[in-house]
Amino acid sequence: MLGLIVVALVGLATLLTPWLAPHDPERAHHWIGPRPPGFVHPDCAAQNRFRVGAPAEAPARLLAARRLEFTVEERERSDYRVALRRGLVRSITRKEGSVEVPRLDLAAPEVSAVELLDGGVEGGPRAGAVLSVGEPPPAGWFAPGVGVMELRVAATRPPVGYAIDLADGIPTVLMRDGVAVEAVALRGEDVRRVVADGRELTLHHLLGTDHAGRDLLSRVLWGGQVSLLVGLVATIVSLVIGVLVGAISGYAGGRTDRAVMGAVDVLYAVPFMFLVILLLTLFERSLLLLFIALGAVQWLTMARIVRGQVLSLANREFIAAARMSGASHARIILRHLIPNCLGPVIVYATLTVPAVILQESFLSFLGLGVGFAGRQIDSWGALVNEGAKATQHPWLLLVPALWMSATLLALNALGDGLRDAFDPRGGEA
Amino acid sequence: MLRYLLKRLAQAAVVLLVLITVSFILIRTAPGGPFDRERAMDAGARAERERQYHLDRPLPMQYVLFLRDIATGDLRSTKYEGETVHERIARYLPVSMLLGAIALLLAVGVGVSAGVIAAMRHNRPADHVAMVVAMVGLAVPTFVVGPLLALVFGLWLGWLPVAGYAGWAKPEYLVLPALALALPYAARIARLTRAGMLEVVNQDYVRTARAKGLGERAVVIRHVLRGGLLPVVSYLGPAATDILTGSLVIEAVFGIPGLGAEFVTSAFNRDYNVVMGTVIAYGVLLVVFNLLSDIAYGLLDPRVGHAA
Repeated sequence: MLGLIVVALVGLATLLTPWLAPHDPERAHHWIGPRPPGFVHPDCAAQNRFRVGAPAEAPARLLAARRLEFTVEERERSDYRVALRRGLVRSITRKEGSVEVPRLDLAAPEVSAVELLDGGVEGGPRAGAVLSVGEPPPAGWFAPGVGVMELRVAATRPPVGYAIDLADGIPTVLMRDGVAVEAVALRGEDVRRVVADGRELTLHHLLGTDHAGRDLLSRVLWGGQVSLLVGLVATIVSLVIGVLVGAISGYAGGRTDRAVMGAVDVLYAVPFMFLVILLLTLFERSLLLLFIALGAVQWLTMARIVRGQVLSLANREFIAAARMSGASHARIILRHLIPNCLGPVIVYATLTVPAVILQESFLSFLGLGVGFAGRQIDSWGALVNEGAKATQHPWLLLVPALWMSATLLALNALGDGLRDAFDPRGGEA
Repeated sequence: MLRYLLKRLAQAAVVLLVLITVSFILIRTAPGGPFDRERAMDAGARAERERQYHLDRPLPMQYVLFLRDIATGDLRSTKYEGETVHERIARYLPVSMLLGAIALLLAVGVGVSAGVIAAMRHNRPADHVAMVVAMVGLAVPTFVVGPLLALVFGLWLGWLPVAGYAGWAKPEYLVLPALALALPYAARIARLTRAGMLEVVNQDYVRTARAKGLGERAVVIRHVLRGGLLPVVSYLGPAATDILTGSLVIEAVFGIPGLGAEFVTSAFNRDYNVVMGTVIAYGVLLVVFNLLSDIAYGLLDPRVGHAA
């Protein structure tokens, strides 16, 4: 029951994505939550300079306003070079002015981010540790055999508010926290909020944004469209092939049946996922290719199920009656046999959808995904893959991973529930 | 039993032939050849290369030569010249085998124990907990489990290394990948074990065993488990397939230099012969595994030998 509700919710959310998703999944926005290093506020330039009486250096869309308000979190960045000898820290050098320091406290409250510039293990160095000369470095920072790393440590100060009055793009009054100043230089990386003429330029992002500033919630929703579309269409492909092959094989019986089922047995043992990967790397990737490839993997079980059903139906009176009244083989199969084995078919199709979604995500995780509606929209697998690489920003992994797992869990639960309802004594598949 | 085995062997040969043929056709019909992406090559050198790889022969002849090369171990990588595909596979396969074997053992060990506990405590809290966990384990894909485990145990808790491989010398590098790889299959095996045991627990031969005064432990291990494990045994073949497929992503996630990573790289590099060789190596592995699983099934189930 819970499964049904979740499926309904996810399905609804996915169908309504174009209206629900707050933002375009391809456009960069403002960052809320911990920002990745170097992310420039989308409404600002990397460097924005304002001086009273002189033309301002800032994007034109800002200069059209008459009053600009900025909230800026100025960050102080310093680069350090850490060298090891025999497993112990030999020296810590602050690169600005080449000053050696005995200790680097990354647990201090003002340290907001630690970025690895060179050397060391990706994702190892982070805030919260202390480095001291003569002591071993924290575990997992240095890769074996590499004795030098460069770190960038960002320290945050409390946010500062700037207010700028403009006339035709030329600042007339500059205020820094309510105090008039002569000139202001703002780094786009530090700007958190921009208000132009009382209107905030940035938008809200419930789940934050990714490394390129794209809204994560929108990306997950749009990615779900790709995943669910592939899941549904490939299931339909497998349904059509499987039902037809199974029904014909079961109805024909005898030698045909043995040959078809023998072929199915052989195909069962072929590792299809490898062939699908081969197919997707060799040929130009398209949704159509993906539908066919995944559908072709899934039809085998469907064919077996339908054949079993047809075998048990073929000797029933109503089939004999249909044959007596002169119905053709095609008519008997399509109008009498197939409708009567729809129950198990529907159950198995419900279980096929999450299986296909899983496979599609598996492929897009490996970088073999396809775009959608002419755009490069990543499905869940690709989002999980991106998140897995962004170890500094775990929500990029957690959001798509949990979203996708919840969907698959719900679809599986739905399928299991349907199976129990249709076939109370059915075993595990 | 012998007839049954022979039938299986013949089927295995057909499977391999189908696999080789289909991948051969796919590769040869694909646009772009192995030498298309490299620096401009003068016509003579190119013709020489193509001759070396038999690309100048008619297709059926290429197929025959290809089969010969596979059989004699003379298939060459088109990217790393001078190295045969067999050598490359021999280098990468043991890594994947080690990882896969650990994962399979883990999946069977955890799955069977959980399934037995759930079946013995049928409809009690332990059963429900085990089945909910199994449901979740089944739904959460390997490539989600892997990064999540790396994040939690590698980065947040710092207990285990995040990525890398050092064979037996440093087994701690294998813990997270094996765990991530085993989890979904452990879940499925738990469900199969539980269902299989519940199916046989009320059968006559179990009642007979009880009636003749066997202790509960002996009844469970010698009779119920033996019957109940049959579905698990027949799942082992497909499970090996799934674990091999899963190793493609797990090796990518944890930076393990195995055959899966090699397969994906070669596919992107269009190193045709290596890709083919890898697919065939996987095929052989799977066929062997299916055979073993069939044999085990025949040994466990006294009815098979007579029926087939």
